[in-house]
Amino acid sequence: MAQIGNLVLGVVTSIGGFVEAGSISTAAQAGAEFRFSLLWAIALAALIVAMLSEMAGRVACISRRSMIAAVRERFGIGLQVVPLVGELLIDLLLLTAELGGAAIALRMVSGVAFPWWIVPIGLVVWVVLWLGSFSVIEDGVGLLGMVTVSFVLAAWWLHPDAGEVARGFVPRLPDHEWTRYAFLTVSIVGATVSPYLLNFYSSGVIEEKLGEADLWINRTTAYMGMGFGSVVSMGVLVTAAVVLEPAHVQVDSFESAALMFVPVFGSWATPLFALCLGVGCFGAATEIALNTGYALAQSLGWSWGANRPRRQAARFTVAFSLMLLVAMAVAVIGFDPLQLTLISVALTVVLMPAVVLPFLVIMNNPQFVHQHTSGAIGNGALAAVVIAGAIMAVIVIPLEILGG
Amino acid sequence: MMGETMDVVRDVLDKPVFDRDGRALGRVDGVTITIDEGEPPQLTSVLVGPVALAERLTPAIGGWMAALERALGLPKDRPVNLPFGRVEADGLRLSADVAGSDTSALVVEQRLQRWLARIPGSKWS
Repeated sequence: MAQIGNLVLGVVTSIGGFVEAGSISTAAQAGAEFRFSLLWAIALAALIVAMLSEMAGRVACISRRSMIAAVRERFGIGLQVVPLVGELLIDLLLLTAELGGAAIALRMVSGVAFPWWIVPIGLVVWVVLWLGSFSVIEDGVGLLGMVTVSFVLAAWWLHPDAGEVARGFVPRLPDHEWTRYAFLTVSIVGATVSPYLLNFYSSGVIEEKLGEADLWINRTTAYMGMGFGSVVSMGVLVTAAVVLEPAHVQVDSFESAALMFVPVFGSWATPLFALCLGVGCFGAATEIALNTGYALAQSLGWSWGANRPRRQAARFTVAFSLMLLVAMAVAVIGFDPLQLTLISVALTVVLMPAVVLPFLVIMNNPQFVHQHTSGAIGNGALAAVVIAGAIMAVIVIPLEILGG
Repeated sequence: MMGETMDVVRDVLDKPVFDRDGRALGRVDGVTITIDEGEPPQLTSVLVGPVALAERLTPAIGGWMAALERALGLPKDRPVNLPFGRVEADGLRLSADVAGSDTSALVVEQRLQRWLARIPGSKWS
């Protein structure tokens, strides 16, 4: 019974880190510009990230290694250094964007300019990471994130045309602005299939001490958790499609995105949107900061873990604290979080083949997964993601210029 | 190890190393191989430490890392050199028959631990 409770908690808390600045802004833009016709992109991206999370979690259950540790051991530092530095750079950009997103949320309700909020928010993130155990961080962030279910409620209450919504799950070419459509498709994938989600997830499997007997928990949490997160993203898209598209509102800021709540929540629209954005960005900032510590410690062989006293994992603690400090410094300068999100999304897509390709080798290596190697379906799906990722990696920069 | 073959790159390099008390010392960041005339090359030791790791990337980065370690006043016996005769490979990990505290592998960790200990809450988990 306790296991079922933990499972439900695991699924529900997956929302932390999933619904954040990048997923909210890309889904809102997609809905405002192309109505429901990019719903399939969210579903596909969620399926990819769930599949990769399950695989990374399987490696973690069986070998007690995160994907970053496994890649270092199997491929050596020479092949790991580029994806690792790339992931840290993406994490830094995203962390800066999330701090900015949380600060914008506070500006929306207080009117105080957003650079003033960066230092207090960063300090709260650090105190949570300094004092919290893994479950306090993961469950706290996830349960707070439940407020973002407001997007699903809003979509539900707006009674969108069910047939039109259903047709959104079938990929098709748009009748206008195809470069923008392709750009948003790639952005949704890049905002969802983030390397930090994968590494944070597999580190969490190790922190929670899941073993080979718990593979079913890993599978259920990965697929249902990412599925749950994607439902909220779809809620953002549908609400934006019903409210913003007919009014020709362009989502060029989080303030304009907040208008999607007006028909449902009236005068509560802005505070509620700010709460969803702030909680989502704060949670993601916490997880991304912690993940920078995980990534460095796991690659370099330092002791790590949020479940041990911080001073027993000193290099890990100092590493994530410094990364948080750098992100705070960059955020205070006042870069637009939406622009930072776009850059990190493009980098994520460029890096995707290098992140996913090692899965093909490790998921077929019994040293890491014993008899639970990937079958034909798993390997075929991984190969398809690598190929699609490589194509997207080539077109993403031209698309950023033409469509973004 | 009689009769067994070992692939140094696959079985030794980049694997985690633990001391005799099961304490993590780091990863195998490099190896030294000795070549005596007329003898086959011998793997003499494994190296643990950022300088060895950086040297594998490029000698220049290795040089910078060594300069950084000197500037920080770290002991001169880094990267830590573990004689291969005292190292045992065990699947995906290596165990070295040494005490971690006798090496300088954890000097940075211990120094940072002393700093962090001054911040309230450092003993919580």
